Amino acid sequence: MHDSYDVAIIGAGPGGYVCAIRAAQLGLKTLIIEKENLGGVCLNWGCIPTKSLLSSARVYDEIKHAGEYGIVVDNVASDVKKIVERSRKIAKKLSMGVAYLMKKNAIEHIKGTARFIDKNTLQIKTQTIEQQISAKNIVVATGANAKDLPSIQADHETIWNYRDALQVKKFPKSLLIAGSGAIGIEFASFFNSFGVDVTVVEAAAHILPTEDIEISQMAQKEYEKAGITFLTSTLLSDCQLQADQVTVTLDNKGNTQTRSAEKLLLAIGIKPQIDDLNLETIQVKTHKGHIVTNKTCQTNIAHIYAIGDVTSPPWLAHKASHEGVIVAEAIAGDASKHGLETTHIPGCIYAHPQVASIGLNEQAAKEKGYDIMVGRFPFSAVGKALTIGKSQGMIKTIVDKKTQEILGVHMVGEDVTELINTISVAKHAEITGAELIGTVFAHPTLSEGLHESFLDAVSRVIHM
Amino acid sequence: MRPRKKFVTKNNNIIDMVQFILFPALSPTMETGKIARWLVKIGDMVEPGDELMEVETDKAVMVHESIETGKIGAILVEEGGEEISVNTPIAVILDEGEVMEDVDLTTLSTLPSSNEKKQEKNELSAPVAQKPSDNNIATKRDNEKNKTKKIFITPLARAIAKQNKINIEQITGTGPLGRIIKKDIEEALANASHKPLGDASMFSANKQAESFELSKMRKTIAQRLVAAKRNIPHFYLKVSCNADKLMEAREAFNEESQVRISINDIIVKACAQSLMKVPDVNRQFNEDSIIQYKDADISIAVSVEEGLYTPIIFKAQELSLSEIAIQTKSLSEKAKLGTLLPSEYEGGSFSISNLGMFGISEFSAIINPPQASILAVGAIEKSILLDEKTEQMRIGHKMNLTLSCDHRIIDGVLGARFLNTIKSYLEEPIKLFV
Repeated sequence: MHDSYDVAIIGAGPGGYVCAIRAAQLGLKTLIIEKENLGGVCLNWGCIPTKSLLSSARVYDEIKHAGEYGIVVDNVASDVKKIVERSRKIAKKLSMGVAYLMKKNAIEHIKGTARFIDKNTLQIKTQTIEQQISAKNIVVATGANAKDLPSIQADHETIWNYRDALQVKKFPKSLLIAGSGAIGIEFASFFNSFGVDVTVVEAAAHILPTEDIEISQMAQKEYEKAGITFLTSTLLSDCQLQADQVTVTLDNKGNTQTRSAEKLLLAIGIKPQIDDLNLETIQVKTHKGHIVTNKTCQTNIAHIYAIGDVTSPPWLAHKASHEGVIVAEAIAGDASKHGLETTHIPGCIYAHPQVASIGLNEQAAKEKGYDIMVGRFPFSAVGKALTIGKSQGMIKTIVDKKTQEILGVHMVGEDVTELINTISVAKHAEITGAELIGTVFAHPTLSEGLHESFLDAVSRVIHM
Repeated sequence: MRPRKKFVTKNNNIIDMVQFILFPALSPTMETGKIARWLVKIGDMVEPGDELMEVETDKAVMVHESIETGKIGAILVEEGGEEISVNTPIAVILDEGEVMEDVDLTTLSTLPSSNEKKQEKNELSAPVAQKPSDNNIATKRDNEKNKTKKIFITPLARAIAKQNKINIEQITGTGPLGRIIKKDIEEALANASHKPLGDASMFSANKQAESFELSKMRKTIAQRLVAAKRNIPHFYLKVSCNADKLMEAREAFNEESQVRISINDIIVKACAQSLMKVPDVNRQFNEDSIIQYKDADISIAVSVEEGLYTPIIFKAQELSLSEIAIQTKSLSEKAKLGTLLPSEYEGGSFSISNLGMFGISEFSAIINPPQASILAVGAIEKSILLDEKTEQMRIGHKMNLTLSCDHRIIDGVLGARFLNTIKSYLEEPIKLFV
């Protein structure tokens, strides 16, 4: 005899635990199974601890530049141990918060792993016991893990993955980072702030390859100014471990060179964690390693859902959470007619300066056949940006000429990860550039740059 | 006077009674209109006679005055918006001591609309007398929804609908709280289940062309004329008049008259007299019956920038030429300023359309329903005329008249008799004074 649930959720990351809370709110008997800490990678090994590290870097940067603000600070020093400790403490606090939320919503939580026995039954293994449970609906929210290069695997000493970097014990003199996506760039920014000689290797022609080219070029310039070296269109072809360093062979369109560094961080992407679920037995459809779902996150088996990083990109915590809500509501029979719009999901990079974007970049908009208007506005013309000493960066807006639909907004600069939410609201509410132009933006704020950028798109810019 | 005072109950119970200002019917036939401009704002005190708003109908913009006393608590329909039905609540008027916070506007939909007005007249006069059954409320609500509902639509969806000339009234929203969103419009486009406002496909081939929304007046003209030309079996009678004496008479009249008398004024007089002489033409076809008019209420077509008006010279048979001239002048000016009252252009038993001043020799006009005939007047032109008595040719003035008749009630002979009567007056204007 085993327990039966309305919903069993495998994985308690931002997708799984949000799904569980929403399901419980809707009166469903809910079980959540997590092999590690509640909150998943995001909370324990991703979004949250990296933001904590980057905040330390920011404070350090600010102090180093205190003189520019007329503040004299001598003998600035950093303590890597405390920096990391702080980040672990915050992660732990939030994880405990999730535990509280599970309890508050009467969600059953089992710490262990799960695998499918059949379409309605899971075999759950904890440290002490094994048991089977059955559920009317099962949600796969197992997330993803760091990808290794085919020829280079993390040894967690000299060759790191993100978890190793998050628990750095001593700043290395030099660091090579493979990959210039969000993870690579955020770590590059963090280590660079503390004086590490950072080189980022990117196979694509531009860093942050999914961003608008203009924005990625501008961001690259800013990061280079801060001291980071970038090698784009470059492949990591070989890797030799020495006593206290690693030497890699780099291939830039046929020109090879070697480069050594104390550490190598692999940040080339993630791969969904589905290997241990026994999906083959119940024949859940996958494609290139991720689970195939429809717009309400259903797999090819109607009562089995998948959300977050195990599904198709973008691989972002807020996408996972949103999908968690969609699934819970679908199971409770309260499904929205519409799934999650990919172009309504913002993406944020918390390096210094930050990058944030939503919707289509210029190239993608053109490829889709839109007749577009492009607005640009530099933070150097925004009063607030000057007062806080953060005048680098710009806001680029892409608007459909016919309807003034906001197709995309791309930003690099101070706190743009906060500015982007204005556009998320606009896109979800289907507000167009015309309404944004008519909106009163408070002065002095960085958001005024958004206003001006939309004005620029229709050739009505004021402060430029 | 139509009922203007309405009450609404909170949660369908008689708790709060709020007085509404209802969208007025400015004429008996008016069904919809727009609020061109509010002349009051929330918080204003109004008294009977205070100007409330400018109402735009298919014919004119008019100032509408309050007949209520109180404070404007809320404006429910913005100016310049969509067409609204007569009797739609457009503002809340508060008595002393009443505050907006107590008003539950969600029960607005239980108010009967103008279409229901006719059937529910009795109910209307005592709207708070009893608590209606739940069933009643539901049906009424549904009906009301279809009639005067505000369409909730995202700005983007609206923009796409406009681009593609989609009628959003046909679309069901699937967004939050039933809002019409981009997807709904795209779906409608894909299904083509919408009613196009115009034939966009033919239009889009011509890159030089531009599309404009029809003005209210243009729409009315289009509807009425299509109906007239389609429903009324027109036939046309043409006659050529010798206009020499008409020209002479005008000169003579103008020597005597304080106001300038035009050829058209004389034609109005001639038609009025002819209608008295041939009263069978002064009629209206009314499906099962015939309406016989006693007076010659003559509509005269006045062209304005965006279309045309047909203000009326009432009882033209009793008016002197100078009186006709004065009235015509005044009505034309009002038409051009857009200040004609419905009572000045509604009704009329016969129409005159004169394009003579534009050099048109002759033309055939479409009957102005519900009238039964219209006279199209061409230009007075120099011509070679044959004197019937002397059989000599000479140069003189001629004018062509075309009478369009509704064959349902005017036959050829009757029309001919009438047109010849007009002709005889115009050829011998002195007969007008017998």
